[in-house]
Amino acid sequence: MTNHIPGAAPNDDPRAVLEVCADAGDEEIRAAYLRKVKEYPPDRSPAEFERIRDAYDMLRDPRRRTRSMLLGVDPRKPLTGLLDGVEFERRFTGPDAWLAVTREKKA
Amino acid sequence: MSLRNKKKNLDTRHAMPPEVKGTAEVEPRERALLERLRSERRFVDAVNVAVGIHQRVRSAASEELRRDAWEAHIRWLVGREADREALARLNIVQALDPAMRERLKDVAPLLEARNGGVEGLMGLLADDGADPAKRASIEARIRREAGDPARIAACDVLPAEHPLRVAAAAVARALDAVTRGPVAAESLALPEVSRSSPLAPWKMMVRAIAAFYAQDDALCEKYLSAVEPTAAASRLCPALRAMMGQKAKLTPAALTLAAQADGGRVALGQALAAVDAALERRDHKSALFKISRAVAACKMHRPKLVVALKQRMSVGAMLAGLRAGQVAQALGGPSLKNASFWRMLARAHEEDRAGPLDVPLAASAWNEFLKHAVHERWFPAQGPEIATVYLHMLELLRRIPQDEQEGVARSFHAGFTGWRESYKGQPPEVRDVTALTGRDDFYYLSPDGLLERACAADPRGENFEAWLKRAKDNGERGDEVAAQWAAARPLDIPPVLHLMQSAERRSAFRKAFRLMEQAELLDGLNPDVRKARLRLLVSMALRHLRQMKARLAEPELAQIEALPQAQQGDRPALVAGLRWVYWTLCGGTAQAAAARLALGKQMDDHTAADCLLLMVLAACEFKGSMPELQFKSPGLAGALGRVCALGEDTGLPVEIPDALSKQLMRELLGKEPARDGTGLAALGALAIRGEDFALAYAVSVAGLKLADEWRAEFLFLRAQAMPVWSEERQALCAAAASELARRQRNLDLLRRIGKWREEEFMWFDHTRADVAMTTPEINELVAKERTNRGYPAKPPRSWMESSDDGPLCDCAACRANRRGTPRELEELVDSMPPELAKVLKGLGPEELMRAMEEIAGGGPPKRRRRPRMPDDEDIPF
Repeated sequence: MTNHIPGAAPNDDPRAVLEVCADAGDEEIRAAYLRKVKEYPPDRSPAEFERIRDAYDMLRDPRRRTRSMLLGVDPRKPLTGLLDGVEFERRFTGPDAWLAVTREKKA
Repeated sequence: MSLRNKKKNLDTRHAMPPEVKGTAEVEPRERALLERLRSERRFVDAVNVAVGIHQRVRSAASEELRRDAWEAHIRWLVGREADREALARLNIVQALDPAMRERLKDVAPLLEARNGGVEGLMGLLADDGADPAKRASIEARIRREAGDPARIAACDVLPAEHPLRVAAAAVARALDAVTRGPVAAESLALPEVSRSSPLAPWKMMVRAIAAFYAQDDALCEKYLSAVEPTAAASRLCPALRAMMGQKAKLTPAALTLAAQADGGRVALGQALAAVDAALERRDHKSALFKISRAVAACKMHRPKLVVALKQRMSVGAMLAGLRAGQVAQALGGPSLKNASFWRMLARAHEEDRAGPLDVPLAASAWNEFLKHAVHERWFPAQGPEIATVYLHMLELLRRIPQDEQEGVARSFHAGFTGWRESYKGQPPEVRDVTALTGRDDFYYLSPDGLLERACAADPRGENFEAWLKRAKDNGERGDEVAAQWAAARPLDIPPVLHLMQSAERRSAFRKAFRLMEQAELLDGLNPDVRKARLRLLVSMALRHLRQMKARLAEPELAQIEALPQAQQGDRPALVAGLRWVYWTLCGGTAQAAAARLALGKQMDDHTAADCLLLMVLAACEFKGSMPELQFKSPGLAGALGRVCALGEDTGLPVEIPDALSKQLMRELLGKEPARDGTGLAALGALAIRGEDFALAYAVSVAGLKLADEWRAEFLFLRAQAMPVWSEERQALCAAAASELARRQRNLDLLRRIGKWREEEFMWFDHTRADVAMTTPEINELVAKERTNRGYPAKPPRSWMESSDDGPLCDCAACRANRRGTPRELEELVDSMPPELAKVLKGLGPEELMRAMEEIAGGGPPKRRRRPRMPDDEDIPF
């Protein structure tokens, strides 16, 4: 199965939220969930707990997981959406290229 | 303006004031003229006039006027940012009059700063005597214009230890460090740069750049927000934001920076945005060009995304109507037809909804997706995941109205040639998947086929329940489905109950009994199971008695008598009635008499006892000597009601004999109402089952006289009983019944009302029926219905067709009847503007359908984007 549930924003990908790998089994998912809940208990971090709980509900039910996978793809979404979550290598250039921008005269 | 006036103005513009011969002073008129020209912003004219005055007068005053005019002109040019002309003028006047250097000493540095050099501005700061306001103004200028901290640091107009130079040097070092490699946060503290320093924005910018390189976009954005928007450093904000993936318009230098620093994000993002825009505009030529550029950009900057990008673009291009061959060429080769592709294609067809064939196309694409997904190990070949996909395909099929499904499936079968063209040019691991799976059997066009596969893949109760419901609704394969369910899930009750009820309907009582015993083992407390034993025993006993095999009925009768539930309510009376028949057939007169006595005692009502015995005799097809039976009124309705209820409860078949029908109707419509709501409800249900709507209506008349708790039940009966021309009343009665049932939490009644609406009145206008009724409305309706005691046997005149009595009825229902068109179509015609409706009403059925299609489609049949089955050119490549 793919590592990422398509259609889910990077922050909402259930596997990313629980920090489990693609082929994690039920036991591993449950252990990750309990670990996360200890880190973000509901009384202290309600919003984060809700995210964790939703992610767990999604992952442990194969039907919900599959439906999310089926419907999470939107063929009409802009192509620029392909770049969401993709990390581009940021290259050091030295100061000249940066200063060229600040020195550029306005049109 | 007239020519004369123009000339006059022209003259005025360049005219010198009338020469005052020999005047060595500046005239007030001349001063006024200069003021006027300056106020009108005619600085060039003012300079010319002032120069002319000075040439004539040559006094200190005139010289001052000339200097004022020059200064005003030059400052005006600076204000308009006409730097080149201002600088030229400045040089000229400073050469002509050295005193102008002092007057305009701030202009030159300003012009210099604008062109990148801040040295001049800094020179102004060197003057310790400058007033604080002016100093602040200069520092503000430096903040706005200083595009290079290193130049400030290197400018020796100020002493090396000057705070500004020290700050600039620190900023330049930090900028150099952050743009060459990772730096520690401590090294960006920059204590030399104070909050009020002109270089404070640069401090924030340097930290933003450090955060950018540390991939901490949130922190970068935080620092960018702290940079003043008017500061020179803020020119980097759009570039940084674009490099973090936000939308921003970039200058050429910013684009160059992005190309070097961001790994291609900006370039690729712009290429993809261009494709999106071209596809959105459906500019095919531009789209193809932009597609090839986007692929090239992706190959350069992000080769790993090329496969996904080509897949997305090929499907997006299909949606925009581009031809597959051209797109393939633009892509530089076919997109990879793996599971991701087929999923994308299936979703595209789902969303497209261009016509009825999009559903089977989507389902077929999902089928391809399944093959590849299993092959690529997205999920196993059996399991809840694959069942979910099947159920999703089933949901798609439900978009097609049930009566059209077969036609659509046939069209698809006939025209669809498969996806083999899509697999041309594909790598072996993709092509081989099709070899593994064999011919397409189009199972995905059959809801039954999909449910069967879903149950096989994921044999959970919900799936089987859906399959069995569908089988029952369509009157096919119910037993087969229930048998499969029972085999897959032996502990589930519903399939066993279904099989039991099916066997019972077929009179296969032994089998039904065995299944009932099995059900009792699984769930003895289930209400359906608890009723089943008694019901089956009664049915078995009746069969033996019908066959006049009384002795064979003995075991069943003994079992019935031993059942605890047979002692409840009126059930012992039924047992007594069966015993009467048994003993009569066996010749036991005394025993038969005793049984009759017990029956009468149990029912405690002669009429009810005789009604029950009558029904038992009818059920047994008793051919012997009929006993004497009396059916007295009042009380017949109540008696028959009790018997109907008992019949529903125990499976005893009940039918109202014709001989009693009139008497019953009279009683129901009479003044002495029956009081047994349960019995009346059972009687009403019997009437509906037997399609005796007049009787059902009469029962509702009696029922509506009962206590309020029965209003829901009998309003529903009223709705069911009314004829088709009384839809308004039906709708209102059903709505009121529904509302009352909701309040009473009578879920069984709500379910029955819902089922009746679904099955009986597809064309119902549910608008009124679905709106919750208030208590006063319900009370008013009940009061009105109570007064409507007569069954509306005849339709109103307007509803009837008549060629002799007057014009034909023009209502939608009559027209639909006459023309054989769907009623909802006629109702749509009625909703059109009158002139159009008049024309449409005159058309024949086929012409009308065509016309309505045109109207709905917005004009004559247009060339649809995809009117036909997809051929190879249509399939995204």
